[in-house]
Amino acid sequence: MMVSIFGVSSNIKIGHLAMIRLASTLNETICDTVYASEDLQLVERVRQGETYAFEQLVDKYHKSVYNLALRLTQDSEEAYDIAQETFLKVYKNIGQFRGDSELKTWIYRITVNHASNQLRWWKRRFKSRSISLDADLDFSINLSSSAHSPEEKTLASEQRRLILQSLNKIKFDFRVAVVLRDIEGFSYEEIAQTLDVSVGTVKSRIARGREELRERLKGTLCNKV
Amino acid sequence: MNCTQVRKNASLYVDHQLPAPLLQQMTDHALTCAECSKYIEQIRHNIRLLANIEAVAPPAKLKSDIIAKASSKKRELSSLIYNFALYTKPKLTGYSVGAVVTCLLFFTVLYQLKPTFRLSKDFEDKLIAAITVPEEPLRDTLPRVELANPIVELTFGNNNREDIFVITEVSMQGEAKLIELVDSPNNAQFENVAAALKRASFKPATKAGKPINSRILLLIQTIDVRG
Repeated sequence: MMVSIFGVSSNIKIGHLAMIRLASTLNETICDTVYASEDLQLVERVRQGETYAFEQLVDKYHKSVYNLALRLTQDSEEAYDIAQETFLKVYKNIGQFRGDSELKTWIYRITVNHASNQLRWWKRRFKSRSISLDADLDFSINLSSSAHSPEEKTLASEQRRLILQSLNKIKFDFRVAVVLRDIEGFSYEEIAQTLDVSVGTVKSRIARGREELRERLKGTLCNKV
Repeated sequence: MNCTQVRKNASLYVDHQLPAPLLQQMTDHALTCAECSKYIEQIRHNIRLLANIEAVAPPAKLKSDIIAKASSKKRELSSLIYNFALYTKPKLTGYSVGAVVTCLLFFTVLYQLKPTFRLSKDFEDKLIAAITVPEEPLRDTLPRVELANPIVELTFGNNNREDIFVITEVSMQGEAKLIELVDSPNNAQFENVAAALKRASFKPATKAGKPINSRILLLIQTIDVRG
């Protein structure tokens, strides 16, 4: 069920949303602080050459790094390579991690840079990349809450295919911003840190990426709102 | 607020990133404008679709591959040779290329200047003539008596004053041998002359610089040294 703020008492709704946001932000801040502290300890142990600590680090982040790479490149083999390269770089340069940003942000930055380089490499060689989203990618939509009937499942599957196809066609910078915001759930500040750009640039990229996505999905099953 | 402004701020609006007054204006506009309301809802719908994309489980071997590669990297890093190569490789490459290019340029310039450095033919001939010591031509020579051992015989009480001609053979080693007395008043002198020649030493005759055996005719004179 969608929650719309365009109801009768919009002022009350806005106040309610603001409270939810505040509580959510406080909760996130506490969690982030705990995770950041854990990560710093983990980093310190890796620096000291503890192999098990690096295994823990890989265990903690390899899934999210692989998924980010997969969403940026839309190619499972490339995502696999990017994930490997990312962790090797993390291992090699862990001494340079100063803790100014979160470990997750730092690792994501390396992943995005690798993905960007990989795509540039492909472009330089003029290789066409034809990807069957149904065959190669194992993205799935969470249907448990919204789709029950076969019709709903079919619609959701088609929407997934279309949105991934459209996402793959938008400019890389916009795609990264949209993926980090709408799929990974990063805040604007975290995206700015990850991409090493200003928050203003992040806002602009997200807005343009969403607009481009909306334009591409206009008239399709995804836009039957 | 008009429709253009609403659409421009729609992304920030759905993310609750707008300040309260602007947020209120957007809401008020959307309540009255069906198109903008639909526009914002489309953005929201797409965000929901993206958010519902579930994470994919990475291949099972990814984690083990990463750890294996990191371990091999660790071994490489601990290797002194690897570190040295890593340190010198980019520098060596740059310097090597520079050195090779410099050498090539140097030899190219040198090759281009080569005719300038070459001596003229006349000057070269003169130079060779000036520095070359002329060789003496090899001449034929006659045998000569060594001054160290002259043929001198002092005799007493002999009144024979005739000169004696003798034919002598001088070997390559400089030894003389009496062969025959020529025009001698008596043969008694033969023994004396032969003994004198044996004591003397000669420089052998040469032909084209090489010593050869030779025969010479000697005139032996008797000189009275008495007062």
